[in-house]
Amino acid sequence: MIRRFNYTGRKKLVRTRVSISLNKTSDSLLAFDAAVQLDGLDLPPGAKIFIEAYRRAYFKRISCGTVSAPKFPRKFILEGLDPEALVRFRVKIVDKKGRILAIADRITRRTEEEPTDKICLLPVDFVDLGQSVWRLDVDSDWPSLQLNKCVENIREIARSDNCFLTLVYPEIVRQVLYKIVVEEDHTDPYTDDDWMSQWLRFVIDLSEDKQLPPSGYSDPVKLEKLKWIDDAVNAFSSNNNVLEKFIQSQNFREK
Amino acid sequence: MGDLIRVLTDKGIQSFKVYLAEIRNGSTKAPPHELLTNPWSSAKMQWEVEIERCDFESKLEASKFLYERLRMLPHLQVDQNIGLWSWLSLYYFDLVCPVNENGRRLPGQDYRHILDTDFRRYYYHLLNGPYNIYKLHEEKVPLLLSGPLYRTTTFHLQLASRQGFITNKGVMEAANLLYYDSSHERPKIAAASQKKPGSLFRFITVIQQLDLTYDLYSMNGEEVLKLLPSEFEEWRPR
Repeated sequence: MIRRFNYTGRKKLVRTRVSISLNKTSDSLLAFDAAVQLDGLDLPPGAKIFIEAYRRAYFKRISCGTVSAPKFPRKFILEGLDPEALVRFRVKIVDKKGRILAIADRITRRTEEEPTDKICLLPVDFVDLGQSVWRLDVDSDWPSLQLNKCVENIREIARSDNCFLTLVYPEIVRQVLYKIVVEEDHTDPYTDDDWMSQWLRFVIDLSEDKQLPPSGYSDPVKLEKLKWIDDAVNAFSSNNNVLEKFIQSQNFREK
Repeated sequence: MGDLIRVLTDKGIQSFKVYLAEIRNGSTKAPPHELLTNPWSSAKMQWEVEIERCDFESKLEASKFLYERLRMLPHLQVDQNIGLWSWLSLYYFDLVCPVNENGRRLPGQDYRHILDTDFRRYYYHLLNGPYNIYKLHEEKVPLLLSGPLYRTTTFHLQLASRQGFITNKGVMEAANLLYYDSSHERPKIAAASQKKPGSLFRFITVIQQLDLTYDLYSMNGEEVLKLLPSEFEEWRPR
């Protein structure tokens, strides 16, 4: 487990305090509304609030007033950004010396259709993937599902096509867990609200025995980890009736 | 008289890839410039923009030229347009992949010429990479835009690949102040060394640490330099 030091007493803004919703304007531009709950954090009234939207070489920083007089953006247009792109947000509270007092980072978008009280574990990005239909990106700062934007109706397919759902999503769970448990040896779901802990909490909640993954890098432990991942994928599949849905999709095709 | 910019179609891109593979295997064939205008391999853009073949001496010159020609177009139609950047690469092929002293062209990976929109590779494109840097920083970061188009530097790879660096004006200005030798118009010698104290790799590590404490986006280059420890003394501008 990686230990982090925080000598300056920087506070963590948990994601549930940040509400960001995206919408498309009539000109098909991407715009967002934001609000941040700062009560109870004991921040200096004069500290400045900034929201930063970023994606690759795109960066937009919006000054949102101070803790005592916040002015959060409404329908702020992210000009020059692909409306289908996966944009991330960062909220910073900064003192007069430029020191960060509190921060929430890697906040992914929430569209108007999604519930506001849930955190999106797997944001979706629409990109040109050549001959591939989908790809899981686990190497950037939050895992995302990349879908090939050249495939017609891919958004709908990924959302409701049983064949896609049953074949792709369990594999996504497997790949994400492999990254977390085997490659990163991140096995404690209750340390932080970073993406690894949130994913672990999600899969552990699905299993009946609520077992935590084993920790360590030795070969026997790695085998145990792979078994734990198998069980977690099975629990995910069972909760989502994967086998039944797959059989139904095949029967539907035969008819 | 210039040429109208077009975009390579899927077939055009495929043919360009075949050519890249051939020269990678030793062929000395001339670039397939016919793909640039042939209707099955390229298509008109929605807007008419003229360019001409110039002998750009540096990435800065080329990116400034391209930015001025493309700036009026919607960003969405330009920034990640694979057909457009592949067409431009073929158009300027003698600059992005010149014939060397042995009579060969060394193209490297396809993504240096055909824009790959994957976040791990998009900045490798020999025209789109410098263009993005110019678009963000204009002429303030010659450190990343010096030298010929065909040469990708360690500075470019290490800084352009890090979102928190390339989009941060203060950090990029600081890197430029430390490591760019303006009298010779090139990076300072050994500035990208892995071993030398205060060199680029240490800069990256230290900035990543400072970024946890300071709002570096609110600072200019001089202010960022003031935060750096003494090991960077040797590199500071005199």
